[in-house]
Amino acid sequence: MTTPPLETDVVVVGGGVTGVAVLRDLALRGVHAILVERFDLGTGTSGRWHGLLHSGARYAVRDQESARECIEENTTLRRIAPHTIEDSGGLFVLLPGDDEAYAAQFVEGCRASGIPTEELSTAAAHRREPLLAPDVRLAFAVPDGGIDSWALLRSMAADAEARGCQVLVRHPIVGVERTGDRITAVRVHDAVAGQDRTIGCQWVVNAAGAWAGDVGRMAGVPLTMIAGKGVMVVMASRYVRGVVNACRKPADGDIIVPQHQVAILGTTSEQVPSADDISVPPADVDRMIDMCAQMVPAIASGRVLRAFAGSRPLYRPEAPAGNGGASGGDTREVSRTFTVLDHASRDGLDNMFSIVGGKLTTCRQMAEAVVDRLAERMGVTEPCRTATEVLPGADHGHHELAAPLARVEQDQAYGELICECELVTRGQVREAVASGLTELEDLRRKLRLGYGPCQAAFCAWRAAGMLAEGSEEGDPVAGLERFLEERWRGQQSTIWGDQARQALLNHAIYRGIFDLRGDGVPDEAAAVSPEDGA
Amino acid sequence: MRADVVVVGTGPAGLASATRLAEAGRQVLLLARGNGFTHWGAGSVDVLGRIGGEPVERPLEAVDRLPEGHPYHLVGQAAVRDGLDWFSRFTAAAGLAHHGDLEHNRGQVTAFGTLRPTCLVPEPAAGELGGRVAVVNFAGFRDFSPALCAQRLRQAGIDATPASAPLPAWDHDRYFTGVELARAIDDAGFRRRLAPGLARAAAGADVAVVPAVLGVGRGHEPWADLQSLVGMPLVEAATTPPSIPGLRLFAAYRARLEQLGVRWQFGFPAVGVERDGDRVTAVRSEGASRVQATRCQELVLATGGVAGNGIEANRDGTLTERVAGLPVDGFGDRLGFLGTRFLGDQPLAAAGVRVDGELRPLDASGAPLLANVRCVGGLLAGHDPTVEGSREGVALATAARVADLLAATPAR
Amino acid sequence: MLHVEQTADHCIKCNVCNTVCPVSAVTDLFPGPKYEGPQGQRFRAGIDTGDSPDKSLDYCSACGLCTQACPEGVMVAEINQVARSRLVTDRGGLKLRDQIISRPSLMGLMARPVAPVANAVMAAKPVRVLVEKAMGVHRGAAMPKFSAMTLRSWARSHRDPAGTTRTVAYFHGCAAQEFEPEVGAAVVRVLERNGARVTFPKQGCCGLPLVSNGDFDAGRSYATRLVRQLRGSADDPGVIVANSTSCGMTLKAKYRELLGLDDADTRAVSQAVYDICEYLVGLDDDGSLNRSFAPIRARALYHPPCQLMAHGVGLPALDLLALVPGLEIERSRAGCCGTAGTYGVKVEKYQIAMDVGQTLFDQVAASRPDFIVCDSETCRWHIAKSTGLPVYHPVQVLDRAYATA
Repeated sequence: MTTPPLETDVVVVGGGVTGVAVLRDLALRGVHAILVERFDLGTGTSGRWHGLLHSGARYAVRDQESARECIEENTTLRRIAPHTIEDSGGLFVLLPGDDEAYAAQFVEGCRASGIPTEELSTAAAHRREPLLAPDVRLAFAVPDGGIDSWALLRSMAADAEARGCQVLVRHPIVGVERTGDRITAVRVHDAVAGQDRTIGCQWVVNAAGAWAGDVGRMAGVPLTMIAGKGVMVVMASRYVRGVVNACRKPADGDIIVPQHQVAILGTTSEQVPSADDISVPPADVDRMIDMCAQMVPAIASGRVLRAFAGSRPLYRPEAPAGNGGASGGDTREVSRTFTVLDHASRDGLDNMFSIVGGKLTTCRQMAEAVVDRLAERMGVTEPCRTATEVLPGADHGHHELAAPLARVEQDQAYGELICECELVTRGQVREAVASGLTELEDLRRKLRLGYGPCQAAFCAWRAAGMLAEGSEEGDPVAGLERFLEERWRGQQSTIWGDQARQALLNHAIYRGIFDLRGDGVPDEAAAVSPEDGA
Repeated sequence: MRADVVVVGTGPAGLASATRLAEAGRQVLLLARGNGFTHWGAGSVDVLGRIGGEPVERPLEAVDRLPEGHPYHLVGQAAVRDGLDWFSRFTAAAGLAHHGDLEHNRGQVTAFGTLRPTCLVPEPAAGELGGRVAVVNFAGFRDFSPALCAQRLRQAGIDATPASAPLPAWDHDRYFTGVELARAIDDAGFRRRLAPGLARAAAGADVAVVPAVLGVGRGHEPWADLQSLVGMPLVEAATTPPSIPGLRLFAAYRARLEQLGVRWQFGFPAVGVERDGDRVTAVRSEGASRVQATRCQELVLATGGVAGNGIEANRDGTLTERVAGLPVDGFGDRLGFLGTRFLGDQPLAAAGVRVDGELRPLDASGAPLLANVRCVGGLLAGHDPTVEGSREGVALATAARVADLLAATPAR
Repeated sequence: MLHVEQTADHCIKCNVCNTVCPVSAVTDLFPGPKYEGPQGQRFRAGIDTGDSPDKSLDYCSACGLCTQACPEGVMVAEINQVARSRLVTDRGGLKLRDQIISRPSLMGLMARPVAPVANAVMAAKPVRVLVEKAMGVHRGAAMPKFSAMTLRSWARSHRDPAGTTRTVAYFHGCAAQEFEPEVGAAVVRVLERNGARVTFPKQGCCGLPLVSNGDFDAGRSYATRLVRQLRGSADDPGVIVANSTSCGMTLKAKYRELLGLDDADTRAVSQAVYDICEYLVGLDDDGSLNRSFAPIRARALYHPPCQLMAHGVGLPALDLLALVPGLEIERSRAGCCGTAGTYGVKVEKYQIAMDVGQTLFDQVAASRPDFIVCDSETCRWHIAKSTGLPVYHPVQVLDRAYATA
């Protein structure tokens, strides 16, 4: 049975923050649009990063345009999406061996970019961050924060959908239909139904981030993206109240970003042939720990939860076509600001725009830039309202770390906990299942189920039980085995000490007590898949 | 402090070794950082469940198929038999009778509806799943899903139906785990109020499978009583830690050890030894403000390998035995620790201390390193207790051997 | 984050701690050590504007059984105590009741001049009802009696014996000083029977009740003062004995673990502290314990305080009591008697304390011993009140056995 073809004004390709921000912007201007995404929202770079809500200070010395963009959007996001942000603040610290001259440039660069900074005495810095290295020489406070990209994605997508737009996940683009200078339709593959679909459209916005080049190729326009891979290490607990940056030229292992209950150590920078390369070399893990331990020594003996990698979507206009396959080399020199490509003037393709480069913090601004250009060509006169309209959920105010604990305490819901590490309750799982989530992986992404130190040892099977209660269909045990194998992938580089004990206990439970052998899970599952999300 | 024999570790191997050594006339001090695998396991005695992933029918016979160097080969089949016979007698005397024998493995029902291969099961888990099976949870207990369990059982051809039994009003309405529920079921009055709801939930079935929470402080009596009140066989399904059957066993060990005058020192890990030549003269353990040295004649290490915290897996791929610094083969780097599949083999679980036929640790050349140190249980190299299903069997067999080796001679 | 908080990293969620917690066993107001300790710890980073969210934390009695049972080395009880101190700071300090009951030396100072009257008043039921309503101290809670004569005034008139072969400093604590000088006197006599001369360095309260209740700042000022006072004794004679299990424990480890005091002086003092039974068993190890005990033909039940296990020295009292001929000792099966210092006297915690202690009280009722032996003073008072039996410190039994020899 064939499904009726879809029609829309604009197809947005890419379910990362940029694509979803574009969708929302279009929705707020009354334009109908459909977003297509190959896996799930936030499985690309938007789900494989450190979660820093940039103050821009990291660019203050070398890239003041990016710095200015960041501080503006930092302020805007705090207004429209406070519920996705932890107001944790940030520090830049100068360690012995760091160049004091850089500190002076840093202060000046922040001032010039409009980033408020405050120098703290080392005593004040240690009061604020008790685990900070004792030999820190200088410290500057900046308005960094932590942002939860999935929360942001969900919020923006919900807003867009409420205004009539559509989000199609698990619908990778497989081609376009082009008549002369115009794309008339986008062809996608419905991975769930297992068949192709056609979406007729007037305009296309390529917001595929690190994969924008692939989309360009499908549309017949040359577009070279450079994948700047970064490895990040997740510590099992938070260590720091706010972000801690090394006050030096950006380099490996110079940032610690607290995200909810964990700390993310970042990062490396290595050009790789494909953004689908998300492998984590053990040496990179060791390097992150050793470098970040200079700022917070306790990290050296701390427990590592996992590590992941993601690629920065870098656009270097002067890179010759076809050279996207180069590897090696530090990609930090490439500007982090963004570019709107109008393929009409650039490539003779009348109705496609690409939005490339940039960073998560500036996603709204990026969307505004491309939608402004698109709207002009479409003859849509509605101005952009994304900076002033708050997102659904904004009335909750900033996300507070202790909020889940406070909720459980208030309701005395101790007995309702399904995921104890992350304080996910039975009610939350029931609600998620009622909203149509049927896979443990979906529950993980939506509720943080299994994110904690025990890596789903107990909650995975409790949740599988709840899924089984909800439906007679399917094989919940097989689903659980798949989930466990998916979570296991790529973890070998980060398991030692405490985490090794945890892994062996989990193994003793599932393999030993329950005698699960994962017979139904295919072997090629052994390699990490980009679909997995961090 | 002084002791005759110091046993380090209170998992299945440590508890059995300490008990048997005391019964054999030695004066024992039992040192441990904390509780061990009794609290985490299925509550049964695994001797040999699978070889190469394939289920084993006849465990004692199958020992022959194990590679050289396996603890069972080191101690011999007689020790395996002795270990299990002793355990059967000990648990029976403690009101925790077990069913099974070394000639046949059996399938123990789990909360997942799988039937895990094992050798001895406690009575409450021993019932046959014949005819119509009701899979019943106690309302609000989070660690058992009747739908999940029943579905899997049906796949195995068992006629299983999920159900839920209400709990009578009690003082843990707001929050409880298996432990609180098991303690409540220890009370006869609570059982009388529980039984009718359970009977109604299981009505029409020939046997009911319930989570393993039927009492924790009175052996198998609460299970037996509840079974008779409900009027049908009740079979306990193994579930996630904390293991209530394991807690029952631990309580039995505790009582027996106290009876035998064994001293405990709980909550402080052994952190080193003092040596004189090839003998250990004292064990060092952490105290609140000082390291305690306990002089001893013999040292038995039952610290459980990496899982038991007896061996540390270091970031660089090396392994460190934590009490006496015994040599343990490490890995080139940490990527060798774990398999590519979570449910597959885990090399780290098989890592351990290599010993001779008298359970003494060997040095790199294969010569015994220390004359008065013995290693038992999961600490031993050459076996993965999880994957092959041999944890309790190795614990009991090596405990039998060590008791034999160190039994008090009349002259002592 | 102090070191104890970082031990939360070791937690593998195995639930062993939940199996030994005596409080979560008797009430579902307390969701157990795993929830409060390493699990809750990950949500406490002090960045939020609101109060500490975890009121249920207040029900932790800090008995420490969880820390002892944990196979991974998570210092669960200590994590809870540090978190409680933050809760208290958020609330703006201890409430009046907790301030008063946390300062036994002050209470003693005020009550001593009128001790007989004070005791009579505190024994009167109507007064206790009033105190409960006004202050939140449960009318049924065991209250020690103020002693008219302090231990130190007894010591002043006590003459050192001749021919001593060793010197030992005595940290007697508030209980022996204000409420039970007879226990202190027994300690001194028993030490003297073993050739020791006992010194009484000037000393104040160790601050434990303040620390337990969560006022770490006040606890720190008591701690630094006491360390100063005992510092000399740590060098000479180099041995400081304590008979109060919890106060000895405070000196041994809590200053470092909870208050973060890890300077050379605090370390020197902590390493010189011995529990009195630990010290005597040490003498026995060297063959120098005076073993001439006369028989005491009686049956006694020994209850090791939960805090004694935390010393990590085993159960030295049992070893010593075994040396007294004729004395049959049964060991308590309970992990905690329930009172946990000042916890059990509070009106909102009293019933929990009584329920926790029920295992012990049932065992006592079934065994019907002649008396009970327990190292910790708050335990002694609580057990005595609940069972009606006399409860002695082990050293009092030894003192009696020496005296009749």
